[in-house]
Amino acid sequence: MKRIEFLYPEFCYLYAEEYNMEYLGRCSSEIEILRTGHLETPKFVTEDVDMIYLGCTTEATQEYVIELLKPYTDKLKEHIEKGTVVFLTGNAIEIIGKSIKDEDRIIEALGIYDFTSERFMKRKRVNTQFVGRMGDDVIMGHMAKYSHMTGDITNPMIEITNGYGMNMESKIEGIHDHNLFATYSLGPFLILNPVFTKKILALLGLSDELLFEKEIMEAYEYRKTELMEKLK
Amino acid sequence: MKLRYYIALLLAKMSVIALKITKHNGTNFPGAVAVKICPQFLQYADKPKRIIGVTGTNGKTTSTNLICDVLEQAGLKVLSNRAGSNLNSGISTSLINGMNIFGKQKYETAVFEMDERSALKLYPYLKPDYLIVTNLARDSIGRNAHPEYIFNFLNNALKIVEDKTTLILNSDDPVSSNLGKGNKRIFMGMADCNANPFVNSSPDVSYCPDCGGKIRYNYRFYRSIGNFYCEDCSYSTPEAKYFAEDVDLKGGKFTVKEGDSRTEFPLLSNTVFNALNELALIGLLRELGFENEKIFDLLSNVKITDTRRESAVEYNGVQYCVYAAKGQLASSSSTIFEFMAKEESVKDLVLCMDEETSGTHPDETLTWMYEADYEFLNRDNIHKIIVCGHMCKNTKLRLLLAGIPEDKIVTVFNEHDAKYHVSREGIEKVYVLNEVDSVRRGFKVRDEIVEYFKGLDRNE
Repeated sequence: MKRIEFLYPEFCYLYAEEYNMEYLGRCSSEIEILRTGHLETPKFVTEDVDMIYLGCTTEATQEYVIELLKPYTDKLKEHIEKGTVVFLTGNAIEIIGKSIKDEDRIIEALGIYDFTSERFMKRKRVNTQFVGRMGDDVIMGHMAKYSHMTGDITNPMIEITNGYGMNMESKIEGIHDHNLFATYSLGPFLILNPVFTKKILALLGLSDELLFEKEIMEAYEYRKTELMEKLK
Repeated sequence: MKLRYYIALLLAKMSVIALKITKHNGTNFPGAVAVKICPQFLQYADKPKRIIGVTGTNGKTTSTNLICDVLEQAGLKVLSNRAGSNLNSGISTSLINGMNIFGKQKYETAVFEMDERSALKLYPYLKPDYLIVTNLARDSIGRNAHPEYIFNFLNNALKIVEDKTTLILNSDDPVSSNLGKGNKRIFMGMADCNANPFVNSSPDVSYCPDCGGKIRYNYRFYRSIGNFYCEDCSYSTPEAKYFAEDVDLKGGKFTVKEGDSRTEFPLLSNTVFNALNELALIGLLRELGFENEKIFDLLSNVKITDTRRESAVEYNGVQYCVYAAKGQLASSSSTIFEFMAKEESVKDLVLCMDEETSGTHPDETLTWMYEADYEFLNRDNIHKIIVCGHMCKNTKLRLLLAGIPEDKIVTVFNEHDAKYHVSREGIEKVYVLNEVDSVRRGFKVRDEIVEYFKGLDRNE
């Protein structure tokens, strides 16, 4: 069995991001989704897990999640370095940076990667879609957020071809380091990008056959063509 | 600045005349002109002495219409934005329409539907005497992010009018009942009415805002609305000043308890959502000084106007209905899917819920589809689902993941092709669920289906 730890599902389910785990879990009978609540110690601290997932949450809860994970930062780094699959979506990406600025407040994050984020809660919400490349694969995404990442990202997850990345001037998006994949993009990302879901299954050592493979690939191909034609 | 205001008013008034002459129905235009010329237009505009605001995620329009109808029934002359938008420009238009050419307000009472995100542009200048908050639920993620964000937004705006605005709140909403602790607050609550709502996969609230504990319910009405408590602290449904008991949705009556008195009122609708809307209205009327007997009489003479809802024609024993659904909005879509499941007729559904604008509209995403409970449509009485529009492939995938058998699903990119796939036998109803901003589109698809069947019958 492959054990996937879904951190804080009671908080980090915003914008249907929990469906990433729902879908992945239904793709293979060899997958066990372990849901860790905020009052529990994460399983990755004391047990072997094959994958760790953290999804999008509210701004206040994001700060709480940082406090919950801070004591286990080194353990999380250890997992990243030894190749455990780590997948972060939405504002979960900001948690692994150095800090999050919110007007006069600086919220210290886990500091695993050398970037910072800033919230602009009083500005208009940024709603964008993008198409990009991850290796040979075409990846799609959309963002709905008030915050931006800045920093010298040397290992982006996606090179944007249509649209914007981690901020409105950027043509890169997310972080890819060992088997850590972190992206601002919502989706649910694994539904929107079945080619990436296949990659995750392969990294877990499982068959890359997807649930409703024909239909999800048709939906992906259609949407991809549509967005590539119309997004600048 | 005052000079600028008078120029804005004059030009806006002239635009009203021009619109009438040219027979244009630009409901926001005069207000938009006024605000463009004088951004502080609302601040300077002469306003009615008494202003009632209605805000919240769902039920604003229905509640506003109902309040206007009842107050007009009571003989008051009511200014409202019921025909226009609930933004700054729409409310400015209403105020312009209510003023004479010298800028003197002709109305003493106004009822305004107010967009949640416009609170900071509206509350400081309108200073509503009463503000009804229907509920706060998941809304468009592109605009309203999440319920906590809207809560914070409204709460900050309410601090500006703490001394002026009395809130009328739904005590059974774990989110909005926590608003405005510095304001005078009147709570409305309701006893269990055996609504037996389905459980939503993506709730509007799941944890306590005070301690992070899990929110539980003694009973629920729909989604996250119900008699709640936190399992770890004292956060729970506040005590209601006006509490509805003996709620008989089928029999069309409920009793409202206020202190030691109990008064029976007619229910204007058989839905629990509208029972809550009506309860807020009764609370408002009591706060305005109306006697219960008078309220009873007024309610006996009004109907709930819900222009977005069901509209049916019958042909060959089958009802063809148009039902407005808010695509991109998980909470309202799920509620409509629940209704489709519980409404017992055997039916085909035609889903026209994509944004009409374009395939790359920045709001057109998959996200809402996976927050919405398509699983509710996995019922025997849902005979076939015809999915229309450019997102049909993704919607089909969502339906399959919801457990709906593939042979029940048809996809058509062009909604005008839906008519070729609607069942002619074995069903009692066809529901066209159209995006709420394109009501005419829903009617057109419905009418095309009926005309197509009539044509087939003529040729047979």
